[in-house]
Amino acid sequence: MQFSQKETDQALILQMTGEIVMDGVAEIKADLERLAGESPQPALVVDLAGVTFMDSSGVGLLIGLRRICLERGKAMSVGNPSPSIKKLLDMLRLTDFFAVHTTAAPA
Amino acid sequence: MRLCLVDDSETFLTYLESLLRAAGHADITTWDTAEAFLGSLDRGCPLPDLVLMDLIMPGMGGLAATRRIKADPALADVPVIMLTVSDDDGNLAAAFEAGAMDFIRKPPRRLELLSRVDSALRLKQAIDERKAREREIKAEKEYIAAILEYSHDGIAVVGPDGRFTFVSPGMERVFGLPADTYATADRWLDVAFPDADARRDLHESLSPRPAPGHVWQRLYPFADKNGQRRACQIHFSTMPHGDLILNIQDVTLFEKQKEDLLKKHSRHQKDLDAAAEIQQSLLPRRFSMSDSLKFAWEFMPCEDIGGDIFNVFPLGPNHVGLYMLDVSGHGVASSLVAHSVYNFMHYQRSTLVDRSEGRIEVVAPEVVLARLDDEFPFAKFSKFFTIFYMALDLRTGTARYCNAGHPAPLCITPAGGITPLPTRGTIIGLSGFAPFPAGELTLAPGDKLLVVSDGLADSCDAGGGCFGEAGVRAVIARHAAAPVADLVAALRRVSREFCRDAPPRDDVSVLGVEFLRPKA
Repeated sequence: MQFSQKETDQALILQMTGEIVMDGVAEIKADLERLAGESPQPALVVDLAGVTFMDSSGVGLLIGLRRICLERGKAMSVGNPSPSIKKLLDMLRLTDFFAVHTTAAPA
Repeated sequence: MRLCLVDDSETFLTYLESLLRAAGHADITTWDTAEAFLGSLDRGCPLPDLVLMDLIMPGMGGLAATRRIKADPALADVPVIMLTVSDDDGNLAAAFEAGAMDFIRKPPRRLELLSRVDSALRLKQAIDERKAREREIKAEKEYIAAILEYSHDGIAVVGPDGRFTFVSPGMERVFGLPADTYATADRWLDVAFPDADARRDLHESLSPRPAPGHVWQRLYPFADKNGQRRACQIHFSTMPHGDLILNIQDVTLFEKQKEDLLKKHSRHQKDLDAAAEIQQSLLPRRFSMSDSLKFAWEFMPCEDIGGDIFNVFPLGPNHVGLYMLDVSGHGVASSLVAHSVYNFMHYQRSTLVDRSEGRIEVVAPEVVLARLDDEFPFAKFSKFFTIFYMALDLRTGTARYCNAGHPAPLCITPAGGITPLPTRGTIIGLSGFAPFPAGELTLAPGDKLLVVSDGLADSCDAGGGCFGEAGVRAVIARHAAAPVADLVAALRRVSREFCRDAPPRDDVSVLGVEFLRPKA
C-alpha cells in the first residue's frame, strides 16, 4: 500500500493505492494520522480510486482518520471506492459514516 | 640490450664497437679503465646486460674488476666476457675463478665474437626472465601467506594420513591452543572437542576422502583453552590429492543470538497457543440444548489468533440468546477485545436480562447493541467489531434480532428455502453514530438459522480462489432437510476440501440452530 497527497484550498486529498491490509496499515497509519491532524485545510478526502482490496484493518484506519478530523472540526470523506470496497462499506453500513462519494474532490 | 666495453686500447675499443654496431647492437658504451667503468655503475648508470672487459689494463685490471662486480649483490648478475691476448691457461683459470662467464682471444675473429656475445646475451635474457618470474612467484607466495596470516577464520589442511600439513594463525585465534595440539587431527579432536558426538562426527568427516571438490559444512560445539564452551562452523573442502581443507569460523555469538531468538519465539508461540486455547474454551459445549432447540457449531481458527467468538445460552426460562462477533484484524489485541465482549455478553449479567424489581425480562437486542456500542467505542481499543445477536422465544419460535455489520444470517426451511435476514445496522464502535434497527422473524418447527463469519465465504484455496457465498449456499441447498449438526459439519468439510492445505487467513466460525418444536 502507498499513498500520495494533493492539496487544494479546501481539502487535503490522500490518494491511496494498492491493497489496504493489516501489515501495510501498521506501517503508514502514523504518517496518515499526522497528515490528517496537521493539514490546514478544513476537509480531508481519502481517495480510494487506486485501492484494489481493503480488509477490516483498512476500515479501522478510516474510522481513526475520521475521528481525528472530527476532533479538529474538519470534514472527512471517502472517495471513489471500487465496487467491492463499496460493497464492504455498504455491508458495514458505513457509507453515510464516511460520506462516501464518487468524485475525486468534494464540490 | 646494453653492452659495455672496457679496454685501455682506444683503437681496439673503436674496432670492437664498430663491429658490434654493424651486427645490430645499438646500446653500447665504452670505457678505457675498469675504474671509470665501475665508477659509472656506482653513480647509478643503468646496469649493462653484458660486459666485454680486457684482462690486462693499467690500474685495477680485468680480474680485480670482475671480482668486484661478482662480489656486489646488485651487480653479480651482470655477465662478463674477458678479452685476452694471452692464452695462458693460468690466466684463463684466474678469469673464470674471478667470475667471468667466457673469454675471447684477441684479436677476435668476427664470427666467433658475435656468436659468443649473442649467446651470452641470450643467456642473460633467460636468466633475467627467470629471475623476474621468481620475484613474481615470491610476491604471490608472500601475498597468499599474508592472507592466511591475517584471515580471522582458522584454516587448516589435514593430509590423508590424518596429520595437519598446514595450520593458519587463525586457528590460534579460534581455539587458543598450543601449536603441538595440531600434531595430528585426532589429538586436536581430543583436546578441542569434549562433546563425544561432535568428536565422532568430525572423526568420520576427517577419515574417508570423498571426491575432490566435495564441499560440506557443519556446526560443532568446542572448548577453548579456558574450557569455555563455544561453537564453530567448519567448511570442509577436499583437494585433488586427498588433502582436506578446514575453514573454521567461531560462531558462538551468532549461535547464542539464534538460541535466544528461538527461545523468545517459542515463548511467544506458547502464549499465543494458550490464548487460542482459552478463546476456544469459551465456545459453547456442542449440541446441548432443550427439547425445543438443537444447535451445532464449527470453529476453524487462523494460524495467528483471531477475533471471532460466539455463544448460545438460555435467557431466563423461556428464551435462548445467541450471538456471533468478529473483531477487526487478528492477533492478540483482537482476541483480547473478543474476550472482553464475551464477558460483557455473559448471560448472567444485566446486559442481556433485566432482573430488577423481581422480574426476569429479556433485554431487547437493539438495546444490547446500543450498550455494546457505548462500552466499546473505537477510540478505546482502536478496534471495531461486527455482531449478530438474537433472542429467541422457545414457546413460539418468534425471534428478535439485531445485526451490526455482520454477514446476514440465513433462515433455512426444510424445503430448501434460504432467506437472508434483511435488517442490518452499522458496526459496533462508532459511538452512537446510528441506531441499531431490530428485525423479527418466526421460526417454524424444522427451520434452521445459520450464522457464519465472513471468514467462511472469504476462505481461499492456494490459488486465491474464494469459497464465496455461492459455495456456502450450494452446501446449504444439499443439506436443507438434514439435522443442523449435519449441515454445519458439511460446511466445514466442503470448505476445508476447497481450501486444501491453504491455512485460513482469518478465523472461520459457523453456528447453526434448529427449532424443533415449541416449548410446552
